[in-house]
Amino acid sequence: MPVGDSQLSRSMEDYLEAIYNLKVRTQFARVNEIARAMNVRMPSVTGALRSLAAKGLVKHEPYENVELTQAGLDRARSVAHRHSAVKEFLTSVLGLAQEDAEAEACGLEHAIHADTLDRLLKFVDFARAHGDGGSFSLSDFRDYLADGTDPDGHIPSETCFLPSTIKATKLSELCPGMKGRIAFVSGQGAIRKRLLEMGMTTDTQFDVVRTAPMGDPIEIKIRGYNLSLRKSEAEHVEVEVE
Amino acid sequence: MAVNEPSEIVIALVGNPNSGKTTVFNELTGARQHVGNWPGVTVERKEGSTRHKGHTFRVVDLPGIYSLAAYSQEEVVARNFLLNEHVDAIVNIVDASNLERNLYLTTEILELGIPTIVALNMVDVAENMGQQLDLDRFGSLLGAPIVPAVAAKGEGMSEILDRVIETIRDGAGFGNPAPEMKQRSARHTPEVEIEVSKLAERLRLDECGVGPLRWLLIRAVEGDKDARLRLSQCAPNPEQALKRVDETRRHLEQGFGGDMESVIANGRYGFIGGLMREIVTRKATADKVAASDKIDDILLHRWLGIPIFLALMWLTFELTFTVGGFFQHWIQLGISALGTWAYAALPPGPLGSLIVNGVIAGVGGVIVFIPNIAIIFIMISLLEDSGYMARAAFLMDRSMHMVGLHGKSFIPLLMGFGCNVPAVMATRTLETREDRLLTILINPLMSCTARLPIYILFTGIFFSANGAMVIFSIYALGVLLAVASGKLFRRVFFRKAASPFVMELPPYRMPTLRGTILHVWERTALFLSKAGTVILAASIVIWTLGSLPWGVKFASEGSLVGQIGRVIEPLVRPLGFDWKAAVALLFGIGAKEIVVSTLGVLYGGGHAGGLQSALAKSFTPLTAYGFMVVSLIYIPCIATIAAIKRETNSWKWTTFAVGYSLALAYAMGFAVYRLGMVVGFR
Amino acid sequence: MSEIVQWIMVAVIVAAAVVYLVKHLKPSKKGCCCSGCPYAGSCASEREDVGDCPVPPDARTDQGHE
Repeated sequence: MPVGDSQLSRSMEDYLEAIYNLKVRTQFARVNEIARAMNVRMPSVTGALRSLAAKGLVKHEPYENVELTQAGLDRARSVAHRHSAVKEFLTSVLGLAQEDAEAEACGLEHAIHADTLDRLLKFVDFARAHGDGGSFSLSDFRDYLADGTDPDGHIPSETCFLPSTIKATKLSELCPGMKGRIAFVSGQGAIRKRLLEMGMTTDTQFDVVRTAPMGDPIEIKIRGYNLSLRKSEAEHVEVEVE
Repeated sequence: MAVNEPSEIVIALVGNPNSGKTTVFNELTGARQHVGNWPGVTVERKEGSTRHKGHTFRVVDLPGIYSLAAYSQEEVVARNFLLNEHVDAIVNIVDASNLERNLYLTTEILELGIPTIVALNMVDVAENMGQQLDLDRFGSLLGAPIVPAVAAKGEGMSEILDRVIETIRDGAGFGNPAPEMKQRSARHTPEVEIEVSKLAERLRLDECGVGPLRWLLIRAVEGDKDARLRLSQCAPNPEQALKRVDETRRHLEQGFGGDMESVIANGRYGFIGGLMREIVTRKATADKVAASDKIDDILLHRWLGIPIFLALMWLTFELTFTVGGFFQHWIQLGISALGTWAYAALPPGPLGSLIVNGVIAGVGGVIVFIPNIAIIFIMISLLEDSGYMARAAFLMDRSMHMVGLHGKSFIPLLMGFGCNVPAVMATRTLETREDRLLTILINPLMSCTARLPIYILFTGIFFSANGAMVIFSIYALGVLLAVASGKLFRRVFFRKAASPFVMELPPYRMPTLRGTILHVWERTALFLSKAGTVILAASIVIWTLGSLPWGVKFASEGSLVGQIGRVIEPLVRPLGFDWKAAVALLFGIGAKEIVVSTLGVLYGGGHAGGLQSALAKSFTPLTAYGFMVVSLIYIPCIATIAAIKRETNSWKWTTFAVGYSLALAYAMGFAVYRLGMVVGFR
Repeated sequence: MSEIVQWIMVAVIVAAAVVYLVKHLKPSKKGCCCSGCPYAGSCASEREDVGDCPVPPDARTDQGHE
């Protein structure tokens, strides 16, 4: 079982992931949509939501839309990242077909530890970077794991790195040069309102232009103009990377 | 709502920051309001007037806002004005090269039920970008007339006024799109409209105070505190009313599966998207922002950014000191010559003494610094007008955050280098009271332009070899103390979370020569008038104190001013100053320039080289530096104190600000002097 | 110019200066952004008859949103 603040059963994690994916794609997660995605009946969903709410991971009033709490959002995101990392490993390294990989990933993802996942992610990126067309040995990879050296013996000076397996995450995780679409804005109050008003609504395209010298704040281009915001504010913006 | 030949038409200018609103205001009213392109330049509404085609217009410039949601001070000011005051028409300034975001506010304005015309500003920039719009379609889809303009060149201004007259007369501009457009252009989704109508029925209200009911209800359902307050004030049963509002909200959120804020924001931007598709006949090809981006690649570079910023700051001081010094020298010669001539030309007696030892010594002592002041104005003006200031805030935010300040505080603080009064007011851009108070308290440590003559005077005498560095060190010391004080205050008083930083980085603009010169000229002229009035009066008063009782040696210890000095002297002796310096500091409370004019009067500046040589004898490099440090920190000038009182609305904080500055000044002056002596300086 | 005349002139000038300073240092009615400080540069269009300067709303009570 993955280590976390609260032990979650596999199916609970799956629910969280389903909610997250729905929100990323369509901004909102409704009970009937969750049921469809999980291939279960609505009462099962309500039951699951109740226990998730009890753990403080979702906010749900009966018959209303499902909101993830901050904790729930973070948890859901990490589950989703695990899933896509595992699936990516299965397809691009092991060569499985998409549907097969999807089915396997569903099973594998719950069993994997955070550290193991981290190494897996690094392996996928490393393999992609140096494996296609080039070659590397396993000891090259171990060196990379140990201190970041690539097969030629250099240490790249990357200060910003986002594993290529991650398709949806917080805006604050993105690196300059990346682009994507806004999925939804979490949080509440003044900052959320301000972000929405400035045009950071669902489906809006954006580019990450740069970060300030110390990594914070970041500057993005959106709706034709340049907007700067702190990483702590960008954490509330969930995006899909292109 | 046609008005029959009103005596005065009141129009309000509303728009995003950086949309050119204040330029429009200046062009319409002939005023010289300060134009800068970052939030906080206009924090108050400004009024002016103009006549056109037989009508008198009262033009009100409101602070730049992104929406009417009333989260920040400026939004509250603008919104309250539009709702509470009588406004005949709104002129919504929209930046044509940045349409989407600008139109968000437009959609909100059109719900207010006030005739609105849209002034599409910067159409020249949009055209350069390759964008072409169908303005007629734009107007009919939006339900308000569109007037293209280039405010920076003064184009479109009379057309704006023409349209205002027409629109009021025709009863138009209410945001009602032409009938055939209605289906495609509903600003809010039909569900929202339906629910809100049902709500209105259930509440049995036809109107509620000012503003259209529909607007109020939508805002209340969104969760706007102010709207809910107003509603509860006019509903027969407030509790019931709010309950119904909450029910409507829940019902809508359920239906959409999401929260009201997103729904509404999505709805507005959705409308805007649709509108854009209909009216943009050719999309922008050249990306205006691209050129700015390239410049930013250098100016905001990871390693170069901050050094470049510091270099620019240093350059400012270097130019001010050396180039300014060059011209200053000539003016000094002129003043000395004038003094000598006057001394010879006037008969001996009180009048001659007044003119030479009072007026020329005092006022001349300050006027001599005009070149330096003009240069610093030019530099500040260039940095502002080009758009670099927003970049500076971007660069500095992290550092400021680490010391408990806010990146947006940076701008009011930077403005403090010009004058602390508008800087204190500019703190209104900060959204929490804690951030505002904090920034106000440390603001006076930002060395304002009025103190510059003091630095240049002493630096010129004692540190002429490294003038710029020394002055830079004083400014830097001010910044450091501000940062340290900020950290201290943050820990002791203000622990609440900081305001959001979200801020636009407007594209760079080439400051116009005409604009800059006008800017600097106007400010220099104001400085001259201040010299001709306040400083003149103060110098005369000091001369009086220095000449009475009559017969006493001028400005000696026996005179009135000397006696005052004798009383204060014990206080400043530990800092290494004599009574004349103390008196100068005392009178400097009225305005910091008075420090220099007082020194001029007391040390005999009416005679050639008199002030410099006298000071060279009474001060040492160490005490001179100490004096500059003390002038940097000690008590803000009266105008600033008044501003602080106004902005904080609290005697407690104002007194604290004054007390803190005095205490800190004393401590620093003491430290500089004593430690300096220990280290071996004299 | 005789001393008496000089004395009178001086007295008048000094009196005017004192009156001016007293008037200037009292809180001014000339709008809110005109601080008398030229470096602020916003006096040009101020109206003399503006009443109380609007104070930031939350200096008294909290308005708007949190």
